[in-house]
Amino acid sequence: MRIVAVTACANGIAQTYMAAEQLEQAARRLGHAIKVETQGAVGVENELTAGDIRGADAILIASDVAIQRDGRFRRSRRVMQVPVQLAMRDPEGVIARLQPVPA
Amino acid sequence: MFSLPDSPPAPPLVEPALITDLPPAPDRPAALRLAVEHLVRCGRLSDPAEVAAELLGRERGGATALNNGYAIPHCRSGGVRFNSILIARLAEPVDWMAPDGLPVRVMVVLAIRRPDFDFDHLKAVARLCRLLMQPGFRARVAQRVPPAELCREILAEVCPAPVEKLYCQK
Repeated sequence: MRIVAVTACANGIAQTYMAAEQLEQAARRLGHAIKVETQGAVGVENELTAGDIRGADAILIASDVAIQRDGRFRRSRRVMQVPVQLAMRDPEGVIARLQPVPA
Repeated sequence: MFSLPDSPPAPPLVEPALITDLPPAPDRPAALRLAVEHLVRCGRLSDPAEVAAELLGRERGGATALNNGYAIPHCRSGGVRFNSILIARLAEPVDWMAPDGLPVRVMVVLAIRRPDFDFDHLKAVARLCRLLMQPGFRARVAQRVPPAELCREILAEVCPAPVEKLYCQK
């Protein structure tokens, strides 16, 4: 499965980056490809392109705050949103719940 | 005519003397006190008691533990003489209420002067967090690669464009 994800948190410091790492490692363990965009205190990094989003089987937003440029995902039925804490604590469980939907 | 103040230039944010091993500490406050003592030995603080109080106060507001046995205690304080990053390996792991429950083996302490309008303290904390999430960097800390190498890597992450930064200010 090709997964794209965005992580963000209220103060944009630790949780954004911890959740991103947890998701990347869990996806690797489960045999999925993943690209994670972080929206934190140092700005947007590893930004998801329109092509990334089009080519994804599943879209995950791990955030407790409104993310920047969420319009990119509005037309997709494949978006799952979870609290950033959950992505940190149980990244494999979160990824297991992603349902690939044919585009 | 202007004359430059006769003070030595500030040392770099991190240098090999700031990458160290610390003796066992029973708990978080003791570990932070050891960190402050090392910063004093490196000539980085003007008021150690105030810095210790700021670091402890920050922990009371929410533990600074990350996952993987790392914590990132940080403060802005009038007791800091020179902005500093200290990497301190602890001889014994210390419970730090980490999200993954693992005790802390390495403290990455960020001590920033107050006031310092040229240094974005939260951005630096975010960049350090990002660096500490990289398994490769953690492995290099654990493997004790030469301190100068770690310093270069940290400075490249926390101050990605020092020259540009210098030119952008004022």
